[in-house]
Amino acid sequence: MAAVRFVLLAALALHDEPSLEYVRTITGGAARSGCWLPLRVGLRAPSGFEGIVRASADAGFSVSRHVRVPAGGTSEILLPIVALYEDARVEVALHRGGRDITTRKLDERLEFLGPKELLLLVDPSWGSVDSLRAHELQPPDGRYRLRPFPSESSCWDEADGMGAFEAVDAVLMSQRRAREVSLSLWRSLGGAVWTDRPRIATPAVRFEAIDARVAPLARSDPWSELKRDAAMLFLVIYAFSLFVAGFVTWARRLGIRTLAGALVGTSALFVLGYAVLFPKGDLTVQVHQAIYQSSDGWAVANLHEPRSSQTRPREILFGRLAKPVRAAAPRTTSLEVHLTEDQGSVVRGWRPPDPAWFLTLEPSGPREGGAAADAPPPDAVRRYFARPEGFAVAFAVPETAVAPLAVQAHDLVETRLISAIKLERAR
Amino acid sequence: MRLSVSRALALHLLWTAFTCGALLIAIGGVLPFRLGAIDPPGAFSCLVESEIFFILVVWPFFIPRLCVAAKDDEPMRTLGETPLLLSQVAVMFVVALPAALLSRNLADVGTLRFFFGLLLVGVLACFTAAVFLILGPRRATSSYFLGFFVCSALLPFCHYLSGEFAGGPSLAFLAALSPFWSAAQLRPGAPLSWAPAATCAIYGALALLLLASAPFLKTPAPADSSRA
Repeated sequence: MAAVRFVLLAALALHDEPSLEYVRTITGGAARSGCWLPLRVGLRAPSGFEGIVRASADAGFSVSRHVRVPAGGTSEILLPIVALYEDARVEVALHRGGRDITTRKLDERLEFLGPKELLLLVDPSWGSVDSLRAHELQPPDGRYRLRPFPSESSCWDEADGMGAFEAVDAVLMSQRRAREVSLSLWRSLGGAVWTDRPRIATPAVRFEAIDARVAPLARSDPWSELKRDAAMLFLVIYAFSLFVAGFVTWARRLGIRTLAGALVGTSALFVLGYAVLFPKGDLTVQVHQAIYQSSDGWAVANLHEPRSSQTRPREILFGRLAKPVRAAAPRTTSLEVHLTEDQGSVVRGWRPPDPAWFLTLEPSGPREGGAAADAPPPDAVRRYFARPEGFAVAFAVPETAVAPLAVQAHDLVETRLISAIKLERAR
Repeated sequence: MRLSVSRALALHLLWTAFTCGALLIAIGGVLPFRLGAIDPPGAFSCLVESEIFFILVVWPFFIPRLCVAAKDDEPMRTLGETPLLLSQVAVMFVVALPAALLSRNLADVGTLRFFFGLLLVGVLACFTAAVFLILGPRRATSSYFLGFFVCSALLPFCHYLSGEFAGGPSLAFLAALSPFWSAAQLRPGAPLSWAPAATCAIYGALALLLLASAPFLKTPAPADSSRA
């Protein structure tokens, strides 16, 4: 009798545990290597749940998000991840109290698109994917082939707001639905919205997580300029102070003990000043920026390069969803991108000399004073950012358009805008 | 014996200008050519190298001139100068401390390496003072600078040649006699981290030996120092 009671209690406890109901992509299983792949994660919590949902694949980082489900309720959240290879192990875990409560793998099999294939999402409001004719999916110019996948448009805007809609090149939906859906950031990056039938399309702007072209953008100067300037200022003021202290002692014909006392006192004063005032950390974040303009609006891409020799920031805060970008596929890392409620992200686990860069997409142009400058952008920047066909370098902008960025848990951060270019979609 | 205020002031100002100036030039990139070796991890060893150069090359010229006779009939060179000179070494050490802390922060040097860097400079200053006090400047100068050249340049060069061409046993123990070569091992990740400690031990023991044997040595000839 006791055993039966135990089994029943255990079953009841398991029943009360929160669970992952489903894990699906919003692209109908289509994926593009190195691009964001937004996942729809369904949660059920009979006795309520508050904790972390974390998704991981094979790109060397995980993405997490705080979630709160009321007792007896269900919830659906959007969580983007990056998958690189066909055998990517996409897994979502519920995390609370320092441990994973439950995990679930992706319910679908990922179908990776090739470089000459464009992803077309078809909303049910337009019709069935099966109704698309073959000749409509093979444009007459033959450069790209459209691959249609069914998808619910209800979560497109949320994914686009994060900047996680980049794998998609075009969407097809009814006119009524098109008026309700914004997709402003993605459209600024060249995404196409159709309401009647597929047309000739070009790829939207996208940034792969593994891209060897970021390596030439790295600075060769190993110094943090802020720190070097502070050190030089400190040395100059210290040497001058010693000279004044010594000269005054000598001019007043004071004794050797006074001279020694003056020099030692000045040194002690500057040791104290060093301990209190001198910036000890050495984290430098350099930003390369590109501004895209299409007929549908503006978008700004910021590529952040953190570098440090000793500072290990607990968290780096980005104003938008930050995507780790590397020149080569990483081995295992402890990097985690945590989504905040205000559409920002917190990067944890970055340790020097991790060569990860972080890409953020801003849905608007320069904030203020972004007047055009005459200086041409560096060729390396042009090579990286001018990847999408149909965009051409127009002009450079000054550094007034740096994206919001904050770093916690260290003493010194230097954020410098290295270069900024504007790319305009060719007409 | 007493210390000359003006010469002590000149010593300390020159010491500060030399060390701070070397560090400023190294990290500031003010030269028309780029100093490839002076990256952030090299800042501390750059400071220690410049301090060692000052201690080994400039400091010997101050030693016989720093002390002056307190009375007219007092002999000019006595062992009573030792505490006075060592007190000035201590002042130089304290004066260089802010720059050392700064360069340690730039280079991310650990506490042990930082300690051995400072100890190396202090030990060499004491060794040089002991050599010039015990042997006297006239007897010491030529042999001292010959030894300086051999230890600082010739022995590391032999180590380099043996490593590059002979392929025989390593002569790193010979190179460890060079204070500059030892200071270069203060960089994070340097292959022979034991070298600074070994150099400190060697020159510290020599300095102690010289000071301890002073009563048994022949009194050196009076120095040519002027009276203040």
